[in-house]
Amino acid sequence: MSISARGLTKSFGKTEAVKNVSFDVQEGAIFGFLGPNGAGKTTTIKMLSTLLKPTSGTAFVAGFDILRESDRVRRLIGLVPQRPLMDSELTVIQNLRFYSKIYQVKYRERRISEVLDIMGMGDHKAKKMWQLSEGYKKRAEVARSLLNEPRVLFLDEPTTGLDPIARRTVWDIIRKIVRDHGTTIFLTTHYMEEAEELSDTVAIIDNGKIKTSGDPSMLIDSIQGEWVLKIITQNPPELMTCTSRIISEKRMEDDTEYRLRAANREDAVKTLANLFGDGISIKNLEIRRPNLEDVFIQYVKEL
Amino acid sequence: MRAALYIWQRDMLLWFGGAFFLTVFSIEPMVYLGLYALSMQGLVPYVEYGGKLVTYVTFITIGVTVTNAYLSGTHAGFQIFIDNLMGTSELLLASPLKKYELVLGRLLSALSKTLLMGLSALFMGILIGAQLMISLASLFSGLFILCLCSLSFGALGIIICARIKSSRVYNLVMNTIQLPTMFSSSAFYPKTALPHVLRVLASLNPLSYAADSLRDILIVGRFIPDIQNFSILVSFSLIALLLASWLYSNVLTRL
Repeated sequence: MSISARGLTKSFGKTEAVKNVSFDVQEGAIFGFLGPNGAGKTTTIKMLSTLLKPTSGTAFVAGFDILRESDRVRRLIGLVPQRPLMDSELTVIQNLRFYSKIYQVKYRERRISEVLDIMGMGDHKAKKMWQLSEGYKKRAEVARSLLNEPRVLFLDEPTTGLDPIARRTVWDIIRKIVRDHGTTIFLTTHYMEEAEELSDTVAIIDNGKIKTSGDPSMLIDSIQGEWVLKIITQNPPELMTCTSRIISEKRMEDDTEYRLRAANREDAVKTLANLFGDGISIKNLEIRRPNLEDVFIQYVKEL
Repeated sequence: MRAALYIWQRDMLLWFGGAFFLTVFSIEPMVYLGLYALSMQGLVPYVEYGGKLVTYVTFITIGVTVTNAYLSGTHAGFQIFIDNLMGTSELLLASPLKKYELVLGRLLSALSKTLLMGLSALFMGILIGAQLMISLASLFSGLFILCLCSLSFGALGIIICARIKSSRVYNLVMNTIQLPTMFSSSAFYPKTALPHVLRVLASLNPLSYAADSLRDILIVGRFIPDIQNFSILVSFSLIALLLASWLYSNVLTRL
């Protein structure tokens, strides 16, 4: 196993941010760690990357105990934080040179060229960090994290704030890193599409606890055989008679979004007919097979 | 240990690369010496120090040298503040860097910045006519005292910045500390010319001992400064250094 967490718990005063979390990540796999804001994703990454001491429990990263062998863990991991943290006043290449020295990278200049090539940043290396777009800042951070050829790469919401094209570029880069170097990726995200697209395994965390984990397609299959009706209505909740079918309810300004469960296509049509029969006026309707977002919503009631 | 040098290199690169540096480096001593000292020279032509009558420009050159070192020393922690604020400290802590290397690198860069600022003021003072006792021995001894001042003021900067997390607090703390310390010292006026309250404050102020130790060497012509000035300066440096190292390494939390 590349990462093996056992009973990881972190408390800040009386608040338990992460509660008895255990999971395993296979070598060379992409592990998607999903959860709403404040669920405990970043706290978990900080413990695994040796930045925070767990209140109890421990973990092995790249074969080393984060508590007893933190120095060795640090040499073997890469960390891409949520927001770019490299010096904005230094150029990309100055930043990379600095971190390559800190990581005691052999053949520094060659390795810097390699990571710049991987990230497609050769033309931007002389630019100061503040001159780069958000997408390129993110790429520069990933380039830095690859300098030491990490065995485990922690990516904390790597595509937050990026446009769809930049996001897909980052996905391609992540796939390339895994394919070409066999790096294990620990990815936190709250984009379900991203997790579904990239992850071999996902775990859903909410309120510090892992709610479920497994292969994304298996998790989707676990609510398979069911169809999902997503409706948006202005009607008050009292009109909804089919309460047993409601998966989630999200109040918006004037409307309410409901996700309803149906056993099959016919049942979905029947449910819809019932809604019309109840006098529900539907502003927007979507009938589809479930996806990872539905799994997520099933476990995390508030999105 | 080499990593401490990399931290130093990075800090210096950031310092030299900023337009802020060039402005402060060239303008600050000019303002104090070129404008203030030369204007005051008309009002206070001579000052008595260590039994010698010297021009006010000569007297204040040492004061401005030490003050410049003090100001840049307290600002030397700024990079720590910025790193904490921007989160760069986290990247450094997630790297194989040892904590002591980070602390040492910070102290080295604080020392370098402060020393350079002090020397720039000293050079400016000589240019506008400060009459200093320059010899190989006094240069050696003066440089040692300036290093001591730089290290202690740099450590003071680290102490101030280690725990500050907002720019509002940083500005407030700096404004509260810097000006009162400067004006309640013997940097600009001899202790004997100060009113009673200021004289008491000056005798508690490390800046006074730094200025007077350097004056003992470059004005009076001693190789070793007055033992009282020197021992207080050394004690302050040691305490500041230990406190800065302890405080900063405690702020750097990781496994």
